[in-house]
Amino acid sequence: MEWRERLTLIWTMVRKDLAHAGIPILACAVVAATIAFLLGPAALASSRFPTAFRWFDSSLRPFFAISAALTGFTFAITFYEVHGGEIRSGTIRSIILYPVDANDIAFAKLGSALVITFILTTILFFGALAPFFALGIWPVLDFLAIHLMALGAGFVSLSTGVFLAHVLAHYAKRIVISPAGLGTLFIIGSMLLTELIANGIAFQITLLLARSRDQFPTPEETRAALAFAQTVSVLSPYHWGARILSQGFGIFPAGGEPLIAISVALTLLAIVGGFILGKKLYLDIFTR
Amino acid sequence: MLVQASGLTKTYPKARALDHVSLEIREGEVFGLFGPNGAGKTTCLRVLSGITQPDAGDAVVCGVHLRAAPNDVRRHLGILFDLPTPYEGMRVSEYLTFFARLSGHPPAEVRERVLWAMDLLVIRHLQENRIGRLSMGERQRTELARVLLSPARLLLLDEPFSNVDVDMRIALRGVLRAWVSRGGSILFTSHNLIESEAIVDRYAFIHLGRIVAVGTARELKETLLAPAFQIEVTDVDRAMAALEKVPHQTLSRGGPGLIHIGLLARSDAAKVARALVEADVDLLEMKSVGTMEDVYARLTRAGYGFLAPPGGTS
Repeated sequence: MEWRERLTLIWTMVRKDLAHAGIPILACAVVAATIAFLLGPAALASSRFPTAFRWFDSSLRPFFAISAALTGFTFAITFYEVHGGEIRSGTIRSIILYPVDANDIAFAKLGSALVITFILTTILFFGALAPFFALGIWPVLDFLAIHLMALGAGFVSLSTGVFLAHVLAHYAKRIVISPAGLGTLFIIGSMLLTELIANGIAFQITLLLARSRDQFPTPEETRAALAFAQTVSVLSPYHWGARILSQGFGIFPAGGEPLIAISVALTLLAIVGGFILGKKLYLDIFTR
Repeated sequence: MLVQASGLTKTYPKARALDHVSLEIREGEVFGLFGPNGAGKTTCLRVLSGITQPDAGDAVVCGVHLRAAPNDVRRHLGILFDLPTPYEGMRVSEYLTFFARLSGHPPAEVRERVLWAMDLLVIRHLQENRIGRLSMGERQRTELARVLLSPARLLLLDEPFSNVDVDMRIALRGVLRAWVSRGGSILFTSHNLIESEAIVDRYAFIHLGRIVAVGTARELKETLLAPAFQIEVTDVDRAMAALEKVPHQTLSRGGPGLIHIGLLARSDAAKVARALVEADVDLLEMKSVGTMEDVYARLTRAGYGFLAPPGGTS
């Protein structure tokens, strides 16, 4: 099938999903307005002490973490609704009567999830913090970069899980784990593997092990835990995004983590492999 | 040929749904696939539409090799499966517009096509209703509208007339016949064999996953049924006496003016008319009483073995 026809099919499915996103958008707007109203006095107080804004590691991390959590969980919920929802309700039985393949469905649902997540989280993130942007306290373009990076990292994580589910389905000839399920696991896994959270987890484990010996962790054990967390964090697309942002904002110099290249290659392999095998999937896997 | 399938086999964990099924569907014909529940009709449709992978065998559907491009074959198909699960929250017009776009109609033509299909199925007055609020018959008509929107060469229709009232059935038969007359073909399954005789050109009977007979109604009746006729005459007594001379299996009186006769060979039918003329009995009507339901019963009786179909395909 020609790529134009394929894009038309995908866009048709995306349009259908977007037509039903009105109520969540309204709900997010109300929540964002409420938070903005509550944060208004804090923003006004900050504006009385004007200082030139500068990014530090300690300021980038929490904002990126907030945006990552917001976009990640919204991605997972939205994709579960638009992709898993079609399977749960059985309406996918109608869609598969048309010349679509598993990749078209995956692209359409990823596209729907991306657009809906972007709209909802942008309203929440920028709406809630609007007083700080309106008063010129925080640089809105920098925050937009953070938000888009978190959105991109979540999208990569979700896509990896979705296309890996195609690989598993191809070899098992049935859905072993649903694209929505594996995509969600990849988003959660990517969040847990960020340096911030991986550090916390590694330190907690070190502490528990030490307490079982009725001791506290030694400095060597603590350093080893941190080194382990830094090593595994290269697997997370959120970590890649954070590295790019920190370099862009002049916090850390470029380079220093060659393992990221291997991690990116593995992710691409999973996505491309899932795409190739997804073309061969018989679509009754979604209805059995 | 729009469909050429050979040796299609599909086994599920608890049953063999298709057992070396081979069939051919020509352009411009309505091909009926009949069999009891669980015989493999729906699996056959699912395999031919590239939705279910066969364990063995292959098919070329509308020029597309199923195994090579299972998902591409549906560009040429309009598919209606039994028990459709439409989007209950969508309005009828919204639903049909979505599927018209999915069928690949140019955006400028979508609205026009949707209106055409709604008029054809007499559901235009329902266009603002949500699917979940439609009656079963209205839903079925909406599903048929969805199928007819497809720029298809072959329609795969699983029980298309279920839940549809008699007037609409008659109208739908006309719609489908008109569609076939424009060069399309239909693969059709139903449990209603009597009704099917008004629309089906060729029949295939499937039993326990195997095609046990293929042919036109006439071919199948001639092959599988004893030639039986109901005769309406002016004088039953004289007619009975005259018909005693015709080689027959059974001869009995029916209602007033009616006689039932089962012949040894279909070619003996001419002898019946001749005998009545010679006995100076007026023959008012003579009709074959073997129906496709009799054919079905003959084919699907327990213990019935494999029968080589008259058409040469099996």
